[in-house]
Amino acid sequence: MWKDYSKSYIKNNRAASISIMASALIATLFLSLLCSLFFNFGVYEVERIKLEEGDWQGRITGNLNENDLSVICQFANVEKAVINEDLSDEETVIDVYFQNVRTIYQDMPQIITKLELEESAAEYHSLLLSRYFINDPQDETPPLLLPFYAAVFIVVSISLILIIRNSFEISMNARIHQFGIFSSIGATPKQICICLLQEAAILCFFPILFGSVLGIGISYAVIEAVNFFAADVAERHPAVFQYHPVVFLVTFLSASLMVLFSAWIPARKLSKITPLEAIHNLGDFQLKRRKHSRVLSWIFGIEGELAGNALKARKKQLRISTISLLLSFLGFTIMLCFFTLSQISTRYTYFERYQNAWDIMVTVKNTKLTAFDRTNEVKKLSGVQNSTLYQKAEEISQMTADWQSEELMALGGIETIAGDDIVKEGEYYRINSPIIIMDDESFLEYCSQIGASPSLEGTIVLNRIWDNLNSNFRNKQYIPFVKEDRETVSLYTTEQTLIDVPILAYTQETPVLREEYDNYTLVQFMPLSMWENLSKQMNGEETNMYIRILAQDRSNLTELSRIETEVSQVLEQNYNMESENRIQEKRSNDEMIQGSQIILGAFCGLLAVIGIANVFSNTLGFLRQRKREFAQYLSIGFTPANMRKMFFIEAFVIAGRPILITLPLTAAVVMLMISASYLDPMVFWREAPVLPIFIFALVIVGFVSLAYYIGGKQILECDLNEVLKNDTVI
Amino acid sequence: MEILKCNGVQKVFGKGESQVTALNGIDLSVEKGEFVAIVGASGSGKSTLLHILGSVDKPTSGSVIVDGMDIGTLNATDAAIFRRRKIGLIYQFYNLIPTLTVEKNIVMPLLLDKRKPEKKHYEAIVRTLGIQDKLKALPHQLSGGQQQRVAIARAFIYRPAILLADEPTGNLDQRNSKEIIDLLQLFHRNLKQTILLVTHDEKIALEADRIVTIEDGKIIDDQKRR
Repeated sequence: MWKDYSKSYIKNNRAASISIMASALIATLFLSLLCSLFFNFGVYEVERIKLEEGDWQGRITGNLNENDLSVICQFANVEKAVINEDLSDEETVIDVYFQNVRTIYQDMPQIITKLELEESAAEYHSLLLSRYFINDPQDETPPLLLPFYAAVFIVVSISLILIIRNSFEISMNARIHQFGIFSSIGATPKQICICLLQEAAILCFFPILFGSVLGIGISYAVIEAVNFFAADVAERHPAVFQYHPVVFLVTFLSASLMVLFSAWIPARKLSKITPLEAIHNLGDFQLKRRKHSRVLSWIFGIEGELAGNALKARKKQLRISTISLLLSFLGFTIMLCFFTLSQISTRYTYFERYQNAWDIMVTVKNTKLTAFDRTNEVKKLSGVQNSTLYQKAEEISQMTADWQSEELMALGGIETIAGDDIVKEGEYYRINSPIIIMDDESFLEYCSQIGASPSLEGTIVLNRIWDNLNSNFRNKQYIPFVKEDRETVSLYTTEQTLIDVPILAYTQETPVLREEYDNYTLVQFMPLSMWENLSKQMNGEETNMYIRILAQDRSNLTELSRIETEVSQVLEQNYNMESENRIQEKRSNDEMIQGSQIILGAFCGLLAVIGIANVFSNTLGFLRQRKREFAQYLSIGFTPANMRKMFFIEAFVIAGRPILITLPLTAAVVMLMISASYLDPMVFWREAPVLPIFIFALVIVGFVSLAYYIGGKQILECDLNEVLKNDTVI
Repeated sequence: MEILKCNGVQKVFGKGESQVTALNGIDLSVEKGEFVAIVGASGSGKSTLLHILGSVDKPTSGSVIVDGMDIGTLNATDAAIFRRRKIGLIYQFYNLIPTLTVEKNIVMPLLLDKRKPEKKHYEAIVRTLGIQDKLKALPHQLSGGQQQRVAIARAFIYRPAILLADEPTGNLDQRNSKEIIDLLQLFHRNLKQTILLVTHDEKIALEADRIVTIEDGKIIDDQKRR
């Protein structure tokens, strides 16, 4: 039948064929893009984890020797086992690599048993393994990132099948009558089904091929774009585009199956209807139930009612456009509003809040401030107004109930304010006490800043707690935490005994640092020399220390970059460090947001393309039926002006619906986000992304109008007599 | 020789209150080579009967034997093959495939069987029908009368056991109508073709050997004229 029928059908119905080919191309492009991005994401994740955490798969720690090493290597599935010199100290650490890593959770316990070690001696690189979809069978909450992406991938594939299927359905609905004729002269259901599948395969082969290649190209561009926008993000290694023939094969086969399946659904449906039903079907759209388009009828009169009924009768065919246009516009609008709110929030909580707290931040990794030996060089850097070297330590202090301030007691006490964030032990509270250990010079400056007598023999207590009953997190109001009548604060040592540290001063003023202090904690600032004495009994220090620099010329990026380079030169040889530059970070942040907006905006744009393509295939794919419909109207006295009005109403409804649904929904979502983030609505309104939203809406309206203009023109140009009497117009 | 036999054929459409009995116990026997006209008012059930005889529809009850085969028991595929090889169908609105040439439309039942037409037979048909110079045209390039001739050629290409014609002149003017009926007569006489013609036009019915009248789904009269 292909040679005898389909070839000539395709030749004589280019619009329908183009619609199918375009759908296949768009769907394959999406699929290929997703496959390629998914593959690259997976590869990148594995690379990142290997770079950051090493490529080991299993790790065994214990009193092990060379003999044990050879025992491990004798296991059939063990590819290699090496002693990790960096981590081996009193105990030996052996990194184990497997030939078939999928059985690691069975093999490792056997190795441990063989070595006569405790179960806890085995460690698994669960993050890396999860990226190979290998999870610990005992783990009830395995990392689900990749399975989540896989699920998204499957959902998107199903959506793509629906897009293609819709296109085939449109084409096939228009041909039910023809297949009825075929059936009446003896074509079997199988012959009809095979004919349609052959058509699908031949029409879609090149679009699938081209779509696959185009998808790869776009994914390459996306990865390059991400690299470009995230170039300045600290600790990020750039992604290198990678591809594998298997990915292409999977994409191509999936797309082919997708096309055949999409064609098979309507083909099967078509082959199942009786020839009589098919012959009687002229493809005219019928309303299943009597419905009134009251609103359209009220606004536009009889044309409104007819247009509304025509849209309702084609509801199923227009489903893809309705959903795609709605999702694209809704997604685009909410995305822009979200980014605007996020930018305002970041500006308030980060850039503007810490505007005067830092210019350059250096993180010196795996270094204790007590062991840092470049303090003098850092302090002497040129162009620096002020620098502070500090480290944070998470300690716990003991507080009696009567030490609480009167203001705090008036609010109901610490338990009312902090709830579960504090622990009560008998008469005492265990309060988290972050200690900011500052270099001595900076600490003395801080003493002067708050008006305390300069001394290195004690701690300064940040005596404040957030009054969360009378203020929100955006505009926090603080009350004193404790009564300022004690001379010492009790801290828990590593052995859980108490040690009293002299209090030099109570203050509600923080030093100039880029730090956010946790709520409901009794923060203390301590000089390094004081901490050196205490550190033998306490070990809450974080692994990294920090250097905060304020420059003399604070608005000059070149100057900040120069200082940054100078700091690097001082530290890089002996320390593993990373630095941030305030102006550069602001720029990077803006670029990241811009990049995210471009990528997400492009995705919304593609959704809109799908919707608009569906509008085109509906207006152009049903020309015959619509010619008959409009010929009937013309025959009873409708004028071309009435018809044009009907087209306008239909276009207005298709393009207007996503806008009308989106605007109130967006307003509601934005209001919710504004109230959740305690922002002033006027601040958002002043920066609301009205123009891009308006342009996006205009593009949708423009293209839908164009589709109706082209379709309408063809319908209005037809010969009334011919259409009404002839059923061979297809 | 009996080529068609209907026993108590009943056809009911719809359910419950909207149930309509289109055929109510039709018993009919047609001999090979007969030309039978089925007449009746609009809605009498004559087209429904023709569709059941052509196996494009199934009876609700009763049996239809065509050339020794009970067509009511055939599945969709076997019914299609049966239609292809044993039945020639002609409709009022021609039902040609609009994207195929006249030639392809005519030979389509053979092509479905992966067969080629016998040259002599094919040429005889197109010559008899006077469409030999229209073979490369598309249906919409022909007049109504010409399109109906193409439909007749397609119906005859497989030498069917029965030719079923449903108001074949209903869409044609008087001159074309007469030509079509003359052509059917010609095939009936020369090839001994069994023809069942549904019409509401008594003048056309008089051209047949036998006139069967249907009313409310029942045969109320069956007259042999020759």
